[in-house]
Amino acid sequence: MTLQRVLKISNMISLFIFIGVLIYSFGWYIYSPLSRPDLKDYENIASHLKQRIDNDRDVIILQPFWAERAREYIGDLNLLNPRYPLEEDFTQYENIYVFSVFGYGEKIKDGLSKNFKFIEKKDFGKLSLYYFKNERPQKIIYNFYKNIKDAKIRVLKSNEIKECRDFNNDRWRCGGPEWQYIGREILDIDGTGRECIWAHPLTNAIIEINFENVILGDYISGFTGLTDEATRYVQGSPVFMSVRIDDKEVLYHTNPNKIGAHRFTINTKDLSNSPHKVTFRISTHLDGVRHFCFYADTRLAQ
Amino acid sequence: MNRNALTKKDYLIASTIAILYIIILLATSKEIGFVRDEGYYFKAAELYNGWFVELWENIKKGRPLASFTKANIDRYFSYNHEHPALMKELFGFSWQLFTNTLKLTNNSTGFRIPGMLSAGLLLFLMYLFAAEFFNRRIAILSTLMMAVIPRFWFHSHLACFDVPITAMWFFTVYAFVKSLYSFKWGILTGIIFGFALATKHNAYFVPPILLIYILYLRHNEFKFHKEPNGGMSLSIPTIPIGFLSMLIFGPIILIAHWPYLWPDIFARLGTYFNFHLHHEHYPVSYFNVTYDRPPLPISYPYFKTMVTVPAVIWTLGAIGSFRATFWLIVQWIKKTPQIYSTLESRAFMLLILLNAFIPIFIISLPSVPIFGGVKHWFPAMPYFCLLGALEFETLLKFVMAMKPSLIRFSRQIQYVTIPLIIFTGILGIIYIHPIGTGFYNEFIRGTRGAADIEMQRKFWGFAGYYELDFLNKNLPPNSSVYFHRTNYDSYRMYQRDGFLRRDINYAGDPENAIAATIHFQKGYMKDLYKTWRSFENRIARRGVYIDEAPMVQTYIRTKK
Repeated sequence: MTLQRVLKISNMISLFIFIGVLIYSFGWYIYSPLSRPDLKDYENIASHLKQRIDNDRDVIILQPFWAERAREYIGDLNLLNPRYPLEEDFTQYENIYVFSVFGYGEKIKDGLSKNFKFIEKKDFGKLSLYYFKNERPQKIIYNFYKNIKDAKIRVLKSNEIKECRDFNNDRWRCGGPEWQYIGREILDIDGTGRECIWAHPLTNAIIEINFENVILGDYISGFTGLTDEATRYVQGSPVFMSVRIDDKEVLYHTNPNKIGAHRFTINTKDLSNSPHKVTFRISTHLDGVRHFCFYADTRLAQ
Repeated sequence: MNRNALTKKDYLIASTIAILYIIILLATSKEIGFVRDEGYYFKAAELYNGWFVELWENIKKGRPLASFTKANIDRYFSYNHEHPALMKELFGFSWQLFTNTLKLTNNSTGFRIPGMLSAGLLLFLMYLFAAEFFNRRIAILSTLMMAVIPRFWFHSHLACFDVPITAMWFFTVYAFVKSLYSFKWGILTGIIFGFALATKHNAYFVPPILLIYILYLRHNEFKFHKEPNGGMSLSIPTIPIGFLSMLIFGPIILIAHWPYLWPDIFARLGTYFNFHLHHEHYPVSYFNVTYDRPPLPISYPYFKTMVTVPAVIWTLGAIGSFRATFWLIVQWIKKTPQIYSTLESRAFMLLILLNAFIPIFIISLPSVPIFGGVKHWFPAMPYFCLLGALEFETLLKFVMAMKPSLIRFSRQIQYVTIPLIIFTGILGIIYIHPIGTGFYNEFIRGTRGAADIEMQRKFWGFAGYYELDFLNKNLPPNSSVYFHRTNYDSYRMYQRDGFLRRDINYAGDPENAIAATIHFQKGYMKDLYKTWRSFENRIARRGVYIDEAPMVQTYIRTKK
């Protein structure tokens, strides 16, 4: 092929790309403002939701996860905006609403329909609301996160047991540096702010979190996680969590040094409807940047 | 390579573009909040200016040396000594003139004027450069393309160093090229380079680029000679006067403009270099990952450029860059008379390509501290726009050659197409203004697409500005507000300029505040969660959104 020909072909390609991008560019700038919802749409969808939502029973999933203007309108309704909603556990909720901006709800409709019954989609101007019904919601009997103040915390070292008795501002302090506490937090795990119990492990020690007289159901369900920031520490050790019921180990769970909420479920059907001692033991090899937390509750399947 | 003699008309066009741009920047300055760095530079500028004011007083009192004691210099200049002082001195002089003396502007605009003038200077020089070495059409197009890049537009308003160093980088290169034909410009090159060094440390990367250019331009002058005694000798090309001038004036101006160095020049220069060699890492979000330590993915600055320059401008620039590189390689492998047939023209194109590439390449190196903002490679953009304008020129000529019947409409074609190209950039500015850091282009569906893959759309804490009216109207007297990423000095300036009530206090933590303005910047989202917990609610009272993606939101503590 001669250079003349190369020049001609490259010019032709360049011209087509240039014209194509120019047309696309104008098209996008026309489409973009037209696709945005009005504030009135937010008001309408919020007023619709406020009449229906019971925070203990229902949840609103925001799609896309970043479209947080919704928080201005829906008040303190139970709004979750997980990065990957199809990987989350919504089984405790009876009614699941997807608050959809820019049509993003459609992306998760089929996925949610596998576990929940799709009832309807309602449009509010350029916003949409998808309604799913969970016909067999799991009932939470005991929430370890909410009851952290009832916990008894101990730090076990080879020849020393230290009890943490100072509870203040949702935190059990165990002395030492400021990060050394057990308490309620909302932490960035897998790009999502999650309510969980901060339990930074210690090198050469085990953190023991005891809950007495916990009424068990069919399962203990929950997740562990390292904050997204912590997982970027490449030398970070895995964190281990052992769960014991009445001093008998029922789960040994490893949280790798990887981004994500690592879920676990413990079958407790044989022990349901009766009080038990539940113990979480947290440990690691090296505690550098182990910003670890966990969430757990006891549930009844229905 | 052709050189056109610049006419009065060229200077008129260049000045008109520059002056109009500065006027528009001035008119829109109050719409842009104070970025974190500005908070520090406002303070530094006022301090540095204080030294000059005191020096003047001391001269009048006949004891000027009192200003030059170490203690006195340190009193004024030890603050923010990690950057050269030139721009901060200019910010201070501007404030002294426009705010204190002439009473024409508020404090912040007074400080910001030199940054805006730098943007005007850059556009002025870009036009002249392209008009001198190419033609007017290329000059107008490349200059306007630069002017309408939304992120450049945003940064042009600020009392920061990124636009000034872009102008000074460009000026140094331009002066150096002119110095090859003029002794006067040879001397000026060194002086301009000195001021570039005094603007920001990016200037240290200019000489290596010029060296590569000159080595290529004059490589034929390297010659081995056989000596009569049997040995060999090497004759090297003439060293351009510009280099000698840079070597002399560069350090002199760097040291002379910066009183902080004077008490202990070498130790303090050492501290300055050391600071930048071990610079802190700014957390940067890229494809769902927040990087707070190196290495950044090598693709980062290239991809970020691709999605933050208006799509049409990027397309022309990218294709133009590829085309120029392709032809240089073709010329290298197989001499062809079709394009860049002279060594001079090839070297010149290499110079433009190096300038368009090296500032981006440096950021992509795995060992470089994390500098995530596109502002850090702004010095590449004038050349990238020039390559884009050259590509447009090629396409225009191609169309004319394909359809000779269109030649008589060539003026009309350019009168339509050039404004269309520029208008896509203006649409970008309208779309994002005044939250310039949130601009993402059509390729990734704007800010909403950037939010999908968690590209950084907000940093520097300036968007808190848009919450101030709400706070002024709704907070009880003597309230404390957690301003999150808005730094204390910016908060003080909001109060000084009357944007924020004087009785509103700055809280360093949501625990001690009754309101919080939370900036949506990955790496700092833990502060949002902390606020939710502390305030016992998650109800945003208002916010700023681009395509529904939040930039900042205000929360109020639940009353008990």
